[in-house]
Amino acid sequence: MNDLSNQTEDFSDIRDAVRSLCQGYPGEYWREKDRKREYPTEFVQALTDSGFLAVLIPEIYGGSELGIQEAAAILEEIHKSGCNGAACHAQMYIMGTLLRHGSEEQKQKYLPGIASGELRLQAFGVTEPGSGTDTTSIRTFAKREGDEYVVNGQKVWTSRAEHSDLMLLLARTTPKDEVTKRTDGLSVFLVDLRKSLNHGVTIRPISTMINHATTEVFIDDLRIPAEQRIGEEGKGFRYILDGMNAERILIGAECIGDSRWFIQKASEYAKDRTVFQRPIGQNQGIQFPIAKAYAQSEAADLMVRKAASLFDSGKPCGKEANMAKLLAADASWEAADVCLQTHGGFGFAEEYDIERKFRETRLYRIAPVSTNLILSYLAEHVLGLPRSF
Amino acid sequence: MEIIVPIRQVPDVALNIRVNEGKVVEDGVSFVISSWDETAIEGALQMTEELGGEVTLLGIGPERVSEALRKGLAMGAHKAIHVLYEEGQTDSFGYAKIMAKVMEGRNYDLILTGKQAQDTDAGLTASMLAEFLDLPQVTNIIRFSDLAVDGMTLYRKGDHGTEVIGIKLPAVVTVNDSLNEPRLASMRGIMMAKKKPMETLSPSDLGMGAEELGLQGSMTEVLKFEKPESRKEGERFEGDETETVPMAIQKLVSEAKLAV
Repeated sequence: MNDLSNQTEDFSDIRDAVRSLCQGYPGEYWREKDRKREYPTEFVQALTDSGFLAVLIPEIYGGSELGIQEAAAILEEIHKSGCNGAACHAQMYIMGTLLRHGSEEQKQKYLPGIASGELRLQAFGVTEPGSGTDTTSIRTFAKREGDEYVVNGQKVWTSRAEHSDLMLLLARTTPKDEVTKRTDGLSVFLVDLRKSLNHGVTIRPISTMINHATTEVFIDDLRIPAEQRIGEEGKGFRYILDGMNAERILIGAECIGDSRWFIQKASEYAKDRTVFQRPIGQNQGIQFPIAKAYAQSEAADLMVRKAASLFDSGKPCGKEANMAKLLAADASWEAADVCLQTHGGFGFAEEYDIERKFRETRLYRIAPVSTNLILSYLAEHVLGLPRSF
Repeated sequence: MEIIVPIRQVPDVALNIRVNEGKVVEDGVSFVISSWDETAIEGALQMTEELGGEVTLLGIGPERVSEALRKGLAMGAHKAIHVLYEEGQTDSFGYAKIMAKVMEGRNYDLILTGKQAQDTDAGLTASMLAEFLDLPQVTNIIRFSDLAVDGMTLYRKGDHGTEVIGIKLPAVVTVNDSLNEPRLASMRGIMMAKKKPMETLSPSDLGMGAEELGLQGSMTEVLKFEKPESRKEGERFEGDETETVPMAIQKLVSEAKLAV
C-alpha cells in the first residue's frame, strides 16, 4: 500500500499567505486584463517577489526546496481566490527538466535567476500544427553542425512565449524512420529567447476565447550552442515525461481551486437569491447539482493529493497524475456549469466573474493533455486494453 | 528595542459566520490574525528595523492560535509566546490578567497591539493591561516619529483631529489600522518561521488557577450571540424614468411612510 501519511497535510501557512496576496487582485483586476487581453504582470511580479514560484527549486539555487504538494496548495489557493495562475504556473515546473537532467553547470547558470524571477522559463515548445497529442511525430528538427544545432520547424499553443526569457524546446535530432523506438531521437534544448527573438525565432500571439498569452513560434535556421542541450541527445522524450506528471498534478490543483470558487459562489447566491418568497437554494433542483459538484470536487481533490504525495516520495505516479488531471478538470467544469446555471442570466454578466472563470476552466479538459488521451492511456497502460490509435 | 505584540486570532469575517445556540460554529471556519493586530506587528517590525531589537508575539488560546503566531513570525517577528489552553469564555479583564502574568520578569520597552479585537470590538484589553502593569498608554495611533529606545512621538487619531503625544517607554500603545499596510508573508518568511522559537506556556506555568481563568476570571459574561438580521432584498424599478421615479416615490410614501 502506498505511503500516504502526509496526504492530509494542508499547508495552512502557505495557503493563508497566498490568499492574502490574492486579495490584492480582485475581480476588477482580472476583468480588465481579460477585456484588454493583457498579461497580469503585477500579479505575476507579486507572486515572484514573495517566492511562491520558486518553491520547487532547491535551496542551493535560491528556491524553497519544497514539493509538488506545496506547489499544488499555492496554485489551488490562487484559483480558489478567483485569480488565475496560468500566466505563470509554468515558471514553477518547467525548470524541473533542467533540474533533473541538466548539467551542474547549466543548473548553476540558470536556476538562481529562475528562482529570483530575473529569468523567466515558462514556455515549453512541444506541440506542432501537425502533431498535437502525437508528440513523437513532431517535425521540428535540430541538425548538429559542429558545436551548434541548426533548428527549423514550427510550434503552436506555446503559452507565455512572449513573457519568457528562456524556452524549453523539444526537437527531433534523429528522423523518426531511423530510430527503433519512436520515442527515441528527440532532444531537449534550452533556447535563450532574448538572443533568438527575430534571429531565428518569430513569435506570433494567437487570439483565443481566454486571456492566456498563447502563441505560435516559427523557428528558421535557429542556431543553438550544443551546450544548451539538456541531457543526452535523443533521450529528450523521457526527460519531459516526469515533467508532464508534475504539470498534470498542478493543473489538477488549479481545477480544484476553480471548483471551490464556483461552488462557493453558487452556494452563496443560492442562499441569498429570493424568488417566489424563498431562497432558490431551498429548491432541490438548485441544491442537488451544487451538492453533486461539491462531492465530485472533493473526490477529485483526493486523487490530486494522492498523486502529489506519490510524486514527492519519488514513486511512480503516471496513472494517478493522469487521473487527477482528468477528474479535477471534469469536476471544475461541472462546478462551472452548475454555478452558471444557479446564477441564471446574472451569470452572464461580466461583473460576477463567472463567465470569465467558466471560459478559463474549460481549457483544462483540453490542455495540457486532452481528456481523451488520458482515457486512452488508462485503457491501454493500466487496464491492458488494445491500443486505440 | 524589545517589543511585545499581543495578538488575537479571530474568525475570518470575509467568510460566512454561522451561529448555533448563541455561539459561533468553529467547524469549517478559518481563523486569521485580527487586522488591527496585524497592523501592530507591521508597526513593531518597522520600529525594530530602524532601532534594532526583537519583536515577540503573544497569543492566548487553543492549538489553532499557534497558526496565527506562525503567520506573524512569517511576516518577520522574531519569536512567539503561546499561552495554550481552551479559554472558553473570557472577557477583556481575563485576557489582560493573563497577559500581565506573561509580562512578569520579561524585558520589554513597548507593548504594541491593535486598538480592539476584530471579533468582539471591545477595545478594553490593552487599557486594562496598562493598568495591571502600571504603565502609560496611548491608544489609536496612526503614526509614530522620533523613535528612540526611551521614548517616541505618537500621533493619536481623535474625533476632531490628531493629538501629538510624547511618551516615555516602557508603555502600552494601541494602533489604528491606518498606521500602515501590513506586509505579506513571503515563502522565505514562511520557511524561516518554522525554525523560529515559540515558547508554549500553560496557565499553571503562570501560576494561575481555575478561579482566575475563563468565566471565573472574567468580570462580564456574554449571555447570547445574535447575528444581525439579513436585509430584505431591494425592489428594482425598470423602464422609463418618467414612469419608474413616480412609482418609487409612491412606494416610499405608502410603504416606507416617507413624508414628502
